[in-house]
Amino acid sequence: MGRYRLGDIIRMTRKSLSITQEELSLEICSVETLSRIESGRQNPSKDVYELLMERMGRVRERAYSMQSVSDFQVLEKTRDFEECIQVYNFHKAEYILEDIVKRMGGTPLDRQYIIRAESLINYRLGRISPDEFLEELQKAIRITIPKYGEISLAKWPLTYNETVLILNISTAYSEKGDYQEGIRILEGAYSALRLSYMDEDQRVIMQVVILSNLSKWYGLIEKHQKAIETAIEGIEISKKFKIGNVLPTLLYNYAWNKEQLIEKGVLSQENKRECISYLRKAYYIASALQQSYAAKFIHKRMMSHYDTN
Amino acid sequence: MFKEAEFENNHIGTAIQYFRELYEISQSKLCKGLCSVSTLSRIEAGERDADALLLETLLERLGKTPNQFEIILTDFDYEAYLCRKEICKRIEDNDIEEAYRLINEYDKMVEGKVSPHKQFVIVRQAHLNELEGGKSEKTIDLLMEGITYTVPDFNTSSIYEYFLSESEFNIIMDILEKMIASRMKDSAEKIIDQLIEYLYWHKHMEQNRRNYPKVAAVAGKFYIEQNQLDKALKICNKGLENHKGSYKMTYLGDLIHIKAQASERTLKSSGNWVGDNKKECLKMFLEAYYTLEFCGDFTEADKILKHVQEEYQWEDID
Repeated sequence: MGRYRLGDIIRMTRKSLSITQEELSLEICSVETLSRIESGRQNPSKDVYELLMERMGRVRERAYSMQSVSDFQVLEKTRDFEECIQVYNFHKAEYILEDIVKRMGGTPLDRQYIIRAESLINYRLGRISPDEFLEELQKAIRITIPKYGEISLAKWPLTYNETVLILNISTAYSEKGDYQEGIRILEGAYSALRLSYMDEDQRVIMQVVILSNLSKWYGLIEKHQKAIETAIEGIEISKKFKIGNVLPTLLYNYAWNKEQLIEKGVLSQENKRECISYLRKAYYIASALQQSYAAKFIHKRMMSHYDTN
Repeated sequence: MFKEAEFENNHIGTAIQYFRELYEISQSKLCKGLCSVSTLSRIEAGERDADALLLETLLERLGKTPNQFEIILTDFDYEAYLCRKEICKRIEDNDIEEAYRLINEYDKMVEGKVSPHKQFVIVRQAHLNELEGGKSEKTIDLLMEGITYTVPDFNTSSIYEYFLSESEFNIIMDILEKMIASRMKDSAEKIIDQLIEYLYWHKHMEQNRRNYPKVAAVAGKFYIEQNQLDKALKICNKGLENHKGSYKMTYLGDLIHIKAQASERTLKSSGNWVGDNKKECLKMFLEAYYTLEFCGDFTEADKILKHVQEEYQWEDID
């Protein structure tokens, strides 16, 4: 029995996803190199192996047989870091990040991670302007997508980390008030996600988060009809996969945009009933999911606009 | 450059040892029922002859799901993996005949190999028996036989000393749900007790935070039917506590529905089903209603709708 090597793992993974060597090697290495790696005539470097596997949705957090003890320790710290970011604890996140920077290696994925993390902290703590933040994020994404900004992303096999970066970039534009650009970027990423090889769980989460941002921003530039359609798409995906991470927001966005159309006289007063019904659904589902901040916010809106529980 | 040339896929033993020690699990507990301590020691020391399914089970017992193929080292591992995948696909597609044929083939292929292979075979046979409309007793017997391949103490003594993998845990849940459906009350209650004890001792393991809502929904429903309201409430609260921060809605509606029922019945029997208490119950029923309705469970949702209309004069549902 022959021993399997890294090239075998790459080939088996690629075949199980029906990807061609051309698609997989794009901007990572030449097709010839990939072919030599797969046939065992050349050993891949850690950099190349990581990038190829990442593109196929095999994230390094799960690459247990490839890592050393110090890799595990760093990856655990990155998880702690993300958790702090989620709860807006940026000072603690920065403290953890200092340790990560000291221990992390220098592969492209390492460098991309550190640039994103450092600029995120600096921006959230008010040390850099939105424009500087954007510049850093673009530097980070160009590590794996060298032609970012010149090519359309719609056909790029986006990885999970690249999608997170794109979400950060689009959010930075929206915070500058440039919703149009935020929308343009997210629409591109949304099309690309359909071609992505990332893990289905992760892909679905990314899809609904993107749709939730899109429906909000379409609403803010008064494209209410588009906002409603986008929200519906997000609600349908949430329903299909039974996930609630942004469901209350999507239901709320649906109702809010309908209300705007009623106020403008585009829709009749009759539609108010449906708005209440969506808000109520959003409120009870947010409560069920113990998303207390969202629940309170929606409840306040129900009380002030409809005088209802 | 030297370091680059060294980069290869042989660190799986390091990973197992690292996480085992991180979670303070002894070697004998991690491999209990699965392989010998000396086998685990050899794996941790970097021996590369271990069966991929054994490695996968060990990692899963630590709550880790490895990327496909990255722990596969030999042709046998690869062929066995492809065959398992094909069997599962045939079962999903209801192709019973072909599934049986492949299972027999697989059974021959893994003769003399580690016990998780045999467990795989028996558990698929159980699923096929169910698909064919065979007797549920037979399905349960097969599942019981399957779990004892790697958890030999199951059903004879306690399982809290084990660290169960996701697939081992799912087999036990499967047995429990089938016993409840076949009205095997006493046996079901014994398994629920075992599971609750297990989850109590393993609450620090991340995967059990994920498992808790499902156990709570199944156990809570069982307790409510036996009118054991205190137990139902307690387990539902635990389930919801563990659900916090999760975005999955699969067991959420059932959990809240059971909690609402148990709370309402308790309050009614003590004469406290009034004022804010009553309002709180209504809120829980509505949370359950909207969650279940959204997830497409219309039968349960309709039941709640009728209930809140009759008991709470709720009219505002569109």
